[in-house]
Amino acid sequence: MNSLVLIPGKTGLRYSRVCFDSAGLCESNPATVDDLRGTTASVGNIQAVLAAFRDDRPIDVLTIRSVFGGRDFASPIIVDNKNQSQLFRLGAQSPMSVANTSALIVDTRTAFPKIPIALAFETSFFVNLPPRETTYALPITTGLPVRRWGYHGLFHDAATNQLAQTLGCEKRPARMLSICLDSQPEMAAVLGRTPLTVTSGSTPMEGLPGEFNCGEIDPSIALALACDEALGPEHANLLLTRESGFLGMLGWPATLGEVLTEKRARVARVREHLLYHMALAAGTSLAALEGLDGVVFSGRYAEHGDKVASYLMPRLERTLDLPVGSLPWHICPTPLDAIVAEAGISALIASGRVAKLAS
Amino acid sequence: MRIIVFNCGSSSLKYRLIDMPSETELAAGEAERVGPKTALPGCIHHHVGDQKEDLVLDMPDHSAAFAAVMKLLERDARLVPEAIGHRMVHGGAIFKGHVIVDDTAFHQLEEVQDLAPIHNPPALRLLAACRQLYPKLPETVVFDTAFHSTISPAARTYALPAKLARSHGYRKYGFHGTSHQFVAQEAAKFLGIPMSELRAVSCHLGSGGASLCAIVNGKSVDNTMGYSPLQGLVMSTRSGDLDPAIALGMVARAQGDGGAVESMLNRKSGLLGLTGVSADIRDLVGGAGEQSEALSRAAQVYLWRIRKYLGAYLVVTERPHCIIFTDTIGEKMPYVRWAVTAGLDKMGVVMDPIKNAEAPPLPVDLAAPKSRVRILAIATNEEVAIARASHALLATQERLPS
Repeated sequence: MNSLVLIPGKTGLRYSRVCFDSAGLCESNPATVDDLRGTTASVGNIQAVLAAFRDDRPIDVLTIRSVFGGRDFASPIIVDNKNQSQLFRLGAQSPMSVANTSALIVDTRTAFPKIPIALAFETSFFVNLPPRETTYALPITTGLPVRRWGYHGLFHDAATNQLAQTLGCEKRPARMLSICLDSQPEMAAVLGRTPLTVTSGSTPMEGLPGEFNCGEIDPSIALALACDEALGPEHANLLLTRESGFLGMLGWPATLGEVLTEKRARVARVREHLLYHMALAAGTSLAALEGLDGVVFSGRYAEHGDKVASYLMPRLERTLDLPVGSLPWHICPTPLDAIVAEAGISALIASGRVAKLAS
Repeated sequence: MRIIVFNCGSSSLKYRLIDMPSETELAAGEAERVGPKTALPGCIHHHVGDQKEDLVLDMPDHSAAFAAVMKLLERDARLVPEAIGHRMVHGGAIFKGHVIVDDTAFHQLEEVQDLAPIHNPPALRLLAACRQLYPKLPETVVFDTAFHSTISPAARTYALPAKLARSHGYRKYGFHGTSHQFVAQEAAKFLGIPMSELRAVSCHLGSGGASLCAIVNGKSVDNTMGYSPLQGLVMSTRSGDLDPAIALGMVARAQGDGGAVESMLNRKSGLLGLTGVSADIRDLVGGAGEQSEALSRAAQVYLWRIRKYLGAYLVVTERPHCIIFTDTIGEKMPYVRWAVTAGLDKMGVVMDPIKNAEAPPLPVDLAAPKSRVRILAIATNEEVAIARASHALLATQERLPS
């Protein structure tokens, strides 16, 4: 089966055609259209994306990666009028993400009226996080619709699924620490198929520092910036999400891969900062899971998992009284577009439309 | 020399009149439940030697608590202080060490009061009142931030634009340092380990504020509080950790009224915010009868945050000698100690549940014999720590009375 995958981002639209045969993933052709921002996507541009594949293999499902699905979407869906409206109503909770996804849905449904459109949500994996983890200690009277979410649920889901199979825990759910090494890294404690903690918050701004994102800061600092006459809440938001993180600390942009591998002293200091906060997050996971069976790395920079492991694993083994080198860790190399495509195909199968296609 | 030490907690005022350098306590007490109303009324537990008395009264702020305490002391001429030591939560970038108060220092203290909006202002008002009542007595200020000056750059730095962080002093300072240092010293003595080798996680769980401290080789390496005391654990009225985007959104919704948001996050959030009825964990756990869903959830959120940070610091301290529980909740709430350590066997933490429930005299080791990490309950005594620092400072400046 073939899926056209669309992954809207801040600076463009990543797309790829992902093909699966009976043996699994057989082809993925990722590319990016820089001038195709989610909210300004045009039907013509999306048709041009499809035209880029100059062969006759049909697209069975077009899958859009959506960051936010709220409580309503606990699994991938095939878009219809009802759930499209349902998604639009989530705009107040995550304006940017929902606006991007909504615009893409409208455009793709217009451009490809005969191809099923699927949505794979990053937050689905975290819908059932325990209330003790999701709840902020804010006055109940504020009525703010805020709770903690994770924003790399697709990676965590796929990676922990693979790790659980590798560990082969049969008598009890596996206790896993999932580390997504992406431009905005994220860590989650996962028990079997159930996440118990995650580093991100109500938005991806909270948690570990990223390429541009501040991560955890004292709320008083956010308040001070928002009340700064020269900034205000909107510009403070931009400062914390686009000018902070590795960029802010270094003074120049650096990817997570560069931070994990470069030898320059200034980069090494940023790496030490990141790894220290990863160790803290790993400790929270140990406490949540009451132990640990294994660690898995995923994400765009999963290949650099060994750099994190060399710092983290000895500390975790000492804490858990385990012999050096005995705690297993793995790298999940599956790219996001393949994970998204698989989610779309699973939604298609669940909808019962595969039989129609076959016929 | 009689030094009276005042320690303003966010909802308490501890005081102790101490003869120095003998460290003999002449009088002491604690005003509890100062500030927002809780299920029980405010009370001053005052004692001079073996004589104890409880004075029940409403204390809407720390100034009222101070006035009541002074009335109690003034009944005996032998309890007139010769110097005053104050605990100040936040010294900011101005105060790198403890100080003797003069006009310059007082004005500088005014400059840093907003860094800890719950603690610094009442402590400063208390200081001003003391200066007015006892103008000839030397006064010192001992800062909570001093013990945390050893926190590494990796732990204290926020991932903000470096220039902005430098110019505004945005970094982790850490708080409750006086208490964490004191109980760490006591733990080292209790375990027979030199302080310079002690590895510990100190849990200062007060009825108002609370923080955890990771200690390696007797030095603070991390603290759950940050640039201000707002960050970290869920507290009585403080939110603790919060997505920065939520704070930004609240300011936008309040149409730029940062003061209202700051007040909400520091004074109306935490347990009080979650329950709507009580700012005190003692009202939420350990009592008879079923709790409402809101109260139960509030308790779970409070305990979970402590447990997560405990796990984090067990990794940072790498095989610590002990976990230390201290201050009002840490010393007196067996359920809280049990809930945050239960199931951590794999991390070497095994509590003796019977010993924990028995409420033995402090200091005490509550760990099961097989536990690699000892679990200690130790009474904090920030006042003695402050008296020591004050006495040393006055001696250096030759301000001790002849």
